[in-house]
Amino acid sequence: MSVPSFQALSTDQVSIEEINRRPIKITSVLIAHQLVLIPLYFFLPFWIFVFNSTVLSLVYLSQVKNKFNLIKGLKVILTLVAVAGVFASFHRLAGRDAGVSLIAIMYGLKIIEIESKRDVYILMLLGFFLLLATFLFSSSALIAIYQFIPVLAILYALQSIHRIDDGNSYRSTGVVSNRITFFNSSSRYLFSQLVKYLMLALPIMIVLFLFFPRLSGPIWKMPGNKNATSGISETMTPGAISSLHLSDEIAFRAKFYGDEPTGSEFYWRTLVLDTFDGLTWTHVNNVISDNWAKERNSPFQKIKTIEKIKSNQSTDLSTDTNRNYRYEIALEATQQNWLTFLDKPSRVISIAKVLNDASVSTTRKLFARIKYRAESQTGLSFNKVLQSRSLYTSLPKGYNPRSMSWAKKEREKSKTDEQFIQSILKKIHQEEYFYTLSPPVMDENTVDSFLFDEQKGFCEHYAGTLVFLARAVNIPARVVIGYQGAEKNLLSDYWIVRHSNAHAWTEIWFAGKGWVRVDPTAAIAKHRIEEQLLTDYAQRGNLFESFEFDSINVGDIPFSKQFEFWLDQLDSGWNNWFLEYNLILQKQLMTSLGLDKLSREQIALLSLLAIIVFMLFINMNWRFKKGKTSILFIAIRLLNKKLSKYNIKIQSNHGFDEFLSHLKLGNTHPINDSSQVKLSQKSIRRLETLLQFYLSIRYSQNNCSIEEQKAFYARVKKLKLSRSAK
Amino acid sequence: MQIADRIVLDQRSTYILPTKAGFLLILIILLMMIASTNYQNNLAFLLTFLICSIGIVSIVFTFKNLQGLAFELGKNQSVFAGEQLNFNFHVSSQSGSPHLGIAVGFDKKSLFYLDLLSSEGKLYNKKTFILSVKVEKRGWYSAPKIVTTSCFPFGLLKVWSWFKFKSPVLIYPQPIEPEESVINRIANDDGDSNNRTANEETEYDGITAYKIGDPISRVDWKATAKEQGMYIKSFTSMTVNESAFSWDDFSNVEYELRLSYLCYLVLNANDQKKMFSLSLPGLFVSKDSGENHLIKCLANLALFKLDELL
Amino acid sequence: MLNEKLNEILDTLSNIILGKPEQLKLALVCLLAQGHLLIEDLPGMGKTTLAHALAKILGLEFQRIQFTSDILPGDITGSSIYKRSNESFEFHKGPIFTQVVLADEINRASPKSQSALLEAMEEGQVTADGNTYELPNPFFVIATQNSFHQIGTYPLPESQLDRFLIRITLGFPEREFERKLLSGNDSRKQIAQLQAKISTDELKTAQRNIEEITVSEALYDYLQDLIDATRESNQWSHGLSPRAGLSVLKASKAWAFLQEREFVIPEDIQAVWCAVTEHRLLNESMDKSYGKGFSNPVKNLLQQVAIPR
Repeated sequence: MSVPSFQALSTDQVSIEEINRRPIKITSVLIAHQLVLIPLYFFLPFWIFVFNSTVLSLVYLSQVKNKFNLIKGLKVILTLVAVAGVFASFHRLAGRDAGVSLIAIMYGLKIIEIESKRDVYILMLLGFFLLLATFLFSSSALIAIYQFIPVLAILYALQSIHRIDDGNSYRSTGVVSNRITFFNSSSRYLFSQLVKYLMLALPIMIVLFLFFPRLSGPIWKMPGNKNATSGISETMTPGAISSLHLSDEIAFRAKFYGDEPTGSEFYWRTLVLDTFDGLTWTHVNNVISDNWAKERNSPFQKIKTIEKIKSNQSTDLSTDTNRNYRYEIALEATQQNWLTFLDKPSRVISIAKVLNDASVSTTRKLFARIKYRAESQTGLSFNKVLQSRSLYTSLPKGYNPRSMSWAKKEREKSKTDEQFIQSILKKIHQEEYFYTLSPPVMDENTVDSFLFDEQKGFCEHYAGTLVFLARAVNIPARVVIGYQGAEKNLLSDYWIVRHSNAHAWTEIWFAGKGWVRVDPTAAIAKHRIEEQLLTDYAQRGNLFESFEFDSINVGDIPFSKQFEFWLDQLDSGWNNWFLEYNLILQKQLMTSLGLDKLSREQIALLSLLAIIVFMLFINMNWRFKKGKTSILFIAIRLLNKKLSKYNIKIQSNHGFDEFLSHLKLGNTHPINDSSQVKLSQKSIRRLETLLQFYLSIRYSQNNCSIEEQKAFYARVKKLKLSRSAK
Repeated sequence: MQIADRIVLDQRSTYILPTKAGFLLILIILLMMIASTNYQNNLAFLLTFLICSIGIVSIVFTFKNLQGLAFELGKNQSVFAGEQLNFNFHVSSQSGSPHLGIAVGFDKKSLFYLDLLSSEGKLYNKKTFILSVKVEKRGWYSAPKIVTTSCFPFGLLKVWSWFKFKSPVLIYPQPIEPEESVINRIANDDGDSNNRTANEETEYDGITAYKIGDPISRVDWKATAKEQGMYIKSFTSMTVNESAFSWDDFSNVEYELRLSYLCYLVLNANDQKKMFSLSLPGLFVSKDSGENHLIKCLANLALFKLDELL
Repeated sequence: MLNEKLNEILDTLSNIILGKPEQLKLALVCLLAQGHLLIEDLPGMGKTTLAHALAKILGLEFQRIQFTSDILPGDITGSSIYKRSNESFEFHKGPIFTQVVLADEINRASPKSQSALLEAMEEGQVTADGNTYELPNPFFVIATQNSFHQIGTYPLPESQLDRFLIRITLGFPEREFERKLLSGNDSRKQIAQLQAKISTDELKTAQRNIEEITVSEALYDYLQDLIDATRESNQWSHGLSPRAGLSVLKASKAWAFLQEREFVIPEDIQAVWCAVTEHRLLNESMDKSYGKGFSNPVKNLLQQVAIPR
């Protein structure tokens, strides 16, 4: 018995209890979760990908498809398996690779128990940290761009657990909702909102990135990962290698200012191996260059001049081979101390020390990419006065007796040291010496077995042998390790040098000339070079004289190559503009903005202030958009603003027709404000035509077009009002 | 706190604090900051700052989710004391922009959620909240203050605001069936009318002209035979179906109980489609029937001497 | 041309019914919109004069039915009478078969008789003995009703009030007009002298033209906002029905036509709003308990609802 209700109350509200009862919408969470993990899989052992995918499919089948229930202890078991797996792969659990592997697996396992919103939060927010872990492996622009996708996915997942009504019938409780409601109209709206949030976050991010005070240096040293980067090695043991794999990874990029070297000039020097123990060549000499040491007194000078070649020193060399190159090298992390230069550098930056064998090393190992400028003159010999001659002529006793005696015999036949070296090169060219990347393994007397028995090897064998033979007859000689050749990015103006360009050659000291570069590998006859090698590593072709380096037009290069160049260009630009930014550049930026006198705290405060101002701006922007953002609406607001100067107000419930009739009556009309200023007749007429125009576009047709709205806006903007003369 | 029948939330009365998830994000950002510094990795820095900025931007948007919401008191049906009042009010967006995951409740523990998402082409976007509350007393009932809160978009922050509706809802007295012993006079009256109702006799009222559709059984053939046209006998229904309820119908019964009894009787009479009148000290509602009459009587019972009693 | 004539009609009428230009205009709007008019007022306020003058000046046939408690449906619509000469029933058309019907004091008649009239109004035809008799076109009912519910009256139920497009009240004339009324000519004589100013065809053309008046989306928005406001207000137990919305639209089109405009603007809706909706919105009896602040809640609504810009 009650008063009959006039209308049934319908509502869309959902109680908190019902929301808590609802199954978590797991699909968007799972998608975000996988998107976070995908880039990591490229850097972690393959089995981790398999493991995580298995976990994912288990969870998908049980939680989303409801095929079966997972057993309770599963997570513990899987965790133990995973930890054991990581230990088996890395033999430890600390360190970057092992650590990140462990985190990735734990993160992969976390989806087994998503029971509450709390689990979703933890999973999604930890995802941000996982994204960061990817950057420890790669700084590639592609990955950085990709990372926006998981960020969006995480935000979408977070957002969607706050939606109450997603079009699914939740009311039937207990049933796991698995319908993907992506991209119905409201989801589209939410997604567009996300993009908007992201766009608004970007300026704040840039401010923080540029100005947020940074701490220098690592907070703690991470256990090293020596195997991480493949590069040139600091030792050389020719006989021990049975197969050499040349990686296509980029070693460095070089950009020339002014002249660019030609084919045979591309000898990039990195380090010198001066000591041979019978099996292995190592670097021993660490004597700092005299000239460099002299100029060290002015430590803040950025460009150091070393080995300034005076004109009198180069009289004996033909000037046409003596060319000066200015260039910039962006060297990828090597985990070593050595810097690479084109031939012998004449100027280097201050952070390096220059040894007297013209190799340059840094005080810290290069764990990150470094960029430096230098100047080189190719074709020059140097060190006319030989220091530590004994170092460059010593050989271990008792090794390679056949080569020893052969060298001595051969020296006697030759008139000069140069002729002796020439005769060796001639031997290599004319006899059956082969160039191969899979040489046979050689035992103790590696030089002997290479020179007389096997006659097969790669650059290290040839360089090692030549130096051995030279030293055998007391000619100072040394092995130089570096890169040979370069590939020009045809879409841009820089050169790419890859690890596959790694090379070993020799330097022989001739009295009166100094150290001269001799490359025995180049002496091999072309037909004795493995064909496979030539096609695979075509850029090394110019090493062998008979191979012509054709100039290629961009149009001719295959698309795949073009794409490769393009990618590399992107990556290079990325490096130049972004990855280089550091403490020093931050300081420079501050100086140029005149902010350098501020303390860190002040700068932090300033950034905060800027962010707050920005947020207020967003807020205002929002207010501006309030109401319907039609052009008409904005125009009417502008009109109101103009009228308010005369204390005239258009009531929200008054039509313009009515407003006009009131206006004509002035402040005598009771509706109008008594302080209303009487407008001149002309103004009233103008207002009348304007509002008549509004009425006609607004009401005399179904809908008014954008053009008409714009026209109205323009007319409002032009409207000039004046008060009555009286 | 705003008190009105239409409330538009603004910045002044809105509060914001991070949620547990918000604190977790701060912790994670700190961790990311440390890791970035340690590896001096610019991309890591950039990611850290991006997440940080999203956190900052979400402050604005969490705020926005409540701002510009308009709450409007709905049309609340009066109920009887002791019943559940489905207190309803509408929520709409002042700006027309969507607001999601909005919760309201009388306290922060029992909340009701809904999404305010404009569908395309629809100008008017209004949704209704219903908060059930048990009302104990007759008279004007003012709903307690209402909290509205939201964590949208990311649940990192929580905003909330309090408001209160001004207009009260009329609560009728609780209908209680009166016991026989307390009824004074009403029994006779009731019985009387019952007798009459049972006697469904009608009185002859003369003859009227025949119209299409009149029952043929009532045709006055005598008159028709006189060739004066067709006539039918007409009867007037004499059913009397009315009651008069009065404050004085009960003796030795306290105020509130009397009102409850009267309320019951009034409802009962209405259910039986009777006509009835109601007399209270200093007030008389004349005999009538129908919904409006019922409401009038009930309202008078609800408001009877409310000021004196309170 | 047509508009000039209509304005002339209004001028002439306002010379007879003094000081009520608004009501006259609404009455004409009602006629143009092909709706029926309800005049609620005390006796002697000039209801009959208005109806009579309106019919005369438009050149329409006019009949008056005085409703009494004993009036029967047949007295309104007509009845079949047996004719011995040809041994069959013959239908005698009632007074309703005319172009303008003045149904005086409609609330005096029994519900049955009332509904006979209202059914005829709604359907535009009368059915008797299985035969259908078309009512003339145009067909216009002006019903009057006493505003005080006196004893022995049957107030029209809400559902039937809805049949009237417009309800107006004339009210007491102002002092200056009353003086003119007292000193001036007898209105009956004036009516007798009235010439029809417009032909039936012209009237029909006007009615057709009104149907073609443009209504923009923006205006629908405003109308819907108003209707929604009645549904959500505490003032009434029910909001306006969709039919009421259509009626507002119809009347505002006619109003716009009288303003010589080819499209409807919000002012047109505002002009007809009270007359069209007031009798459809039932006041709850509890109004008084909310205080006397709201003199006219229907009118108030016009101030509360903003016009979409």
